[in-house]
Amino acid sequence: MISIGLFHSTIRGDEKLIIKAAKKRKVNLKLYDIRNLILEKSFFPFDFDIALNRSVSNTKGRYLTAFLESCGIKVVNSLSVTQNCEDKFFTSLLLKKNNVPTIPFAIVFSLSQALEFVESVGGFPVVIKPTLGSWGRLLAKVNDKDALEAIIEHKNHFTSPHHQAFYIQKYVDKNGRDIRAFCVGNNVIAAIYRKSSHWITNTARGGKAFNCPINRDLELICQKASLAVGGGILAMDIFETKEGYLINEINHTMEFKNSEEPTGVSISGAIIDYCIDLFQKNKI
Amino acid sequence: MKGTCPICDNQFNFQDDLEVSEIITCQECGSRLVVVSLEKNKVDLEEAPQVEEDWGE
Ligand SMILES: Nc1ncnc2c1ncn2[C@@H]1O[C@H](COP(=O)(O)OP(=O)(O)OP(=O)(O)O)[C@@H](O)[C@H]1O
Ligand SMILES: [Zn+2]
Repeated sequence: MISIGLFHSTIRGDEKLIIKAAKKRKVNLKLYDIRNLILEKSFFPFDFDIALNRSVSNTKGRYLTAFLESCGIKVVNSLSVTQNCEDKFFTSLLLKKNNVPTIPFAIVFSLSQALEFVESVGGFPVVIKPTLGSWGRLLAKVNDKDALEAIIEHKNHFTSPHHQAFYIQKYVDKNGRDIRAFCVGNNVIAAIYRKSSHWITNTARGGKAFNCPINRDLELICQKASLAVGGGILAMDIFETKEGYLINEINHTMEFKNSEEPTGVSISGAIIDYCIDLFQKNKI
Repeated sequence: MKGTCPICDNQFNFQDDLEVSEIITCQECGSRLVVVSLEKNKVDLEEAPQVEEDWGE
């Protein structure tokens, strides 16, 4: 029987669903709290066939994946996918390079460069966000030059250097909703609309989830985006515009607990099945 | 399995599938709690860790 190492920190509803899905299949799921591990070969419990990284901390997750891969163990997701997705600027660059429709973006380091970029995308509003970050935290919709000045001044008071690189995107009018598509391997297995009266539609911030039927165009853009970052198990944030779909960002440790019910799809089951498949393909 | 909210003393009756490190919310006081240990019939709870900057998807 195949055994999957589930590496976690806090166990959320998502991990509970994964545990349940594993119980329904012929797999031996072994739980490891990353916070109790020593990432050195002689200390490490190598008693599983493939690793599923579900760390809620990006830093811990990235180091764990790097360590496991160095020991020759397959990890879902891989280190390169992790690195491509955890930093929004890296993701945007890869999307652009691979001609996947995305939102006009740049990184700037000062106010005057920010203003120049804003003008080049047709003016305000724009969105400024941390390149590393999630759950809609520290996102700012900037409506005019005064606000831009204030934001940059505030950010200059953050001590962490990664807050001194200003990732700016054009603001996209998305009609009160965006799409979150769940991709496993090359398949788009489910999608939801996230609706909110606030411009930030994350379910972590109160956005509501509704089933989104998957059409051919949605499937195509997801497959292209997945290929651009290296595949695996990914959640894509997508905006619907008059010009078609645009990928906003890609998440490599996706949360899905609110999406199984509206879509009727066992996303947790698909995650386990993907790990089994990957291990079996790798064995041959 | 039984446990007590360390914040408001609310009593919980848990299902068998509870896991160590699992996050739960106290319905009484709204605190986010984490399971620190699980023994036969006793569940030890603590206040859950604060969200850190690198947490997310
Ligand atoms: N350029 C934009 N134009 C319009 N709305 C945006 C833009 N960027 C972000 N948003 C809104 O804010 C939400 C959160 O943005 P984003 O996904 O980039 O941040 P996040 O913190 O990484 O969230 P998560 O990783 O949890 O999805 C989006 O789902 C969308 O609703
Ligand atoms: Zn309580």
